[in-house]
Amino acid sequence: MRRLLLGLLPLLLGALPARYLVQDASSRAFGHPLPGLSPEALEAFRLGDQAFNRVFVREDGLGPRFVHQSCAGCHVGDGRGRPLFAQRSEALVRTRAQDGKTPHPLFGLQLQDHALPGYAPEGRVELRWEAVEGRYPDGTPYRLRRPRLRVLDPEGRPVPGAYSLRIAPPVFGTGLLEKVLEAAILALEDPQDQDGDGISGRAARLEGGLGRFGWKASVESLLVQTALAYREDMGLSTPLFPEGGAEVGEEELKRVVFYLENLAVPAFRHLPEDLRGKRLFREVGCASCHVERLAGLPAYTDLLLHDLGEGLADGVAEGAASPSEWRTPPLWGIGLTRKVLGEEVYLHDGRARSLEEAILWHGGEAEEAKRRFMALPKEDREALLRFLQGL
Amino acid sequence: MGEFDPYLDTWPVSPEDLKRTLGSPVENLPPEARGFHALEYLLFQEPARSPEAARHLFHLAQDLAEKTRGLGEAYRGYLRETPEEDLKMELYAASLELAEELFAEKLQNPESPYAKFSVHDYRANASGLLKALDLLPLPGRVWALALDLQGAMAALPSPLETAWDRPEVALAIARAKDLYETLAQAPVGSPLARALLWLRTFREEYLGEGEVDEGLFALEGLRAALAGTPQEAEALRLLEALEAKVQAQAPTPEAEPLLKALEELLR
Ligand code: HEC
Ligand code: HEC
Repeated sequence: MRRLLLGLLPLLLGALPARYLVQDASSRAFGHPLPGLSPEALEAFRLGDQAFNRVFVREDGLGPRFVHQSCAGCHVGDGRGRPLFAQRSEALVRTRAQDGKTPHPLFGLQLQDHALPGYAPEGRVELRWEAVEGRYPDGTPYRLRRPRLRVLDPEGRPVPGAYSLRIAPPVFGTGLLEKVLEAAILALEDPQDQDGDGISGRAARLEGGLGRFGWKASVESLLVQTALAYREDMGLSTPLFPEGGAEVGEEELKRVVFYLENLAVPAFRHLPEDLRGKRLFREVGCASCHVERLAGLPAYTDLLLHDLGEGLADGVAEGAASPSEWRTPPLWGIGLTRKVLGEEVYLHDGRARSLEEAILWHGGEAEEAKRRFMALPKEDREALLRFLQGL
Repeated sequence: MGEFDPYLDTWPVSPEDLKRTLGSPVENLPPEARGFHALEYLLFQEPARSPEAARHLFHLAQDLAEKTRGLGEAYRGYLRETPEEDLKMELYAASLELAEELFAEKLQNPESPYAKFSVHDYRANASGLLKALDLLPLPGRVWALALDLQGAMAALPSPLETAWDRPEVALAIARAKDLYETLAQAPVGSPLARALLWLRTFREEYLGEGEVDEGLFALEGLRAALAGTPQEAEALRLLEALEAKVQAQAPTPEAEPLLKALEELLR
């Protein structure tokens, strides 16, 4: 990973607002507008909030097949969702034929596991967890879990295919990430690992621009992400994907995008003693991918794709990413996950139930960083985790 | 509480799905065909007259009672487990959100359109708000505004569903907004104390020891502590200038005046 030249920084800061942090560590911490919005903008933000929370039913064009009925149903409290497939599903399953590339012959690119009364869902998700055990070099044992997923047809028979479980990532701060200039992201790329740190990282080059959103950075803008969510997650057409009309009109689509663009980030809650955890975070190499400042933003991401190894690979190629590649997710606000969701689930499929488990799953380009973390004395591991909890 | 919410008051209901699923076991019904508003629909909009519909109504009511009990239990568990400080923060954040919802949403759209009972909901909201604020360490002005709001709610016409253009509604909206804005200026907790702690750390790390990274971390902590305070905008200007100095590894005499100005501002 090459170091960003400091001299370049002012140029790359571009149009980012100076104030984007809000003081709230409650369960509502992720839902605040950027400080300093004008009264008109605040009004628009509130309308967007209502649209984000709007529950769609048959009369509004929902379905007939879908996954959930509202954006907020999966992005709980504007944060993440759980790997939960129930009456409504908070997570979703990306589907491919068995080659992992072409769309699934029955389900296309995403499974619709719910349907309006009178229709049959495409299939049903059966999720079980398999235990994986290990030990730190100091002998401390740990126990992880890995998802085992099957998709059953309406008769209950398993359908072959490549399936990737995805929990909903948090949506706050995405407007800031969208504004980061491409040059700032490209400056962090090192596809040939020229600096020899074992970490390459490449931008997700898509037809419409650099991919920034989704666990595999398969979407380039909040507008497209939102229109796709309406289509794939709720069975609703928009002016972007009309299908003979627009069940969600231009105005509502724009409102939701405006809302996402203007969601603030909760202020970190560190105390001076967390300096140690921060230093360790940097020393073991976490900050090579979770960069402390991206164009000045303390997002702890480089927005690049990294190969995280076989342990996390999902068998599905998407956008510019191969099955083992994932976008470095931002870590801001991550310490408030339990407050907002009531439990902790991390990584693309929610397999990690703590920040520690999330680290232990890192492999591939992050193998060395994980190894160094594991080799730390227990107090140092805890200091690093406390630093993450303060984000 | 997420597992109960959808079954209590999902809005809107789907009248079509309600009719299609009449008689189906309640536990198989989607959220938009059960809960408070489904009951409301079957009682006030298209009263359930057939024996089958009446039975369904009964099952829906039973389901709602059960889910409400579940929520109550979960809530009591939560109260037992959650530290006092966190509860205060939750109560503050929830009060702020309720005040905001009152003027931005509730007082502009009916909440129980079939029973035409919205005004009673909103009055209960205002009384609840008053009780919640009573539990928080807040300036007296907030309390006075909450009382004003309660008064404005009491004066609302009933049913509200046919009276949106009455001046009493506009007044209640204005009162809720006043309360919201004053409450937002009175955060619970003391970010400024944390800010001063970070300033001291900065002094020690950067000016004392010449540590650049630690200095920058202290400034980041300071930035976080300043968020939402009345001094934020002005402090950020100084902070950013200071950050630039640290990045350029500027000597003490260049950083000192900025640091002094920040300390002045936060005292
Ligand atoms: C069924 C659950 C579900 C629903 C409903 C849903 N999302 Fe998502 N959302 C997801 C998942 C899962 C992802 C990650 C997808 C991926 O990996 O490509 C995601 C990703 C996103 C992202 C990108 C976040 C990031 O950091 O990369 C945004 C923004 C977003 N959704 C907004 C919305 C909006 C707006 C709506 C409503 C119009 C919505 N979502 C509805 C599950 C959902
Ligand atoms: C090579 C780049 C790289 C390095 C080095 C790295 N990470 Fe990650 N990190 C990622 C990627 C990519 C993911 C997403 C993986 C997934 O979802 O399957 C991730 C996920 C995470 C998550 C879960 C985020 C979420 O939203 O669920 C945490 C927490 C995390 N990393 C912390 C760390 C820590 C701590 C370190 C240092 C020990 C570290 N990472 C080192 C790339 C990296």
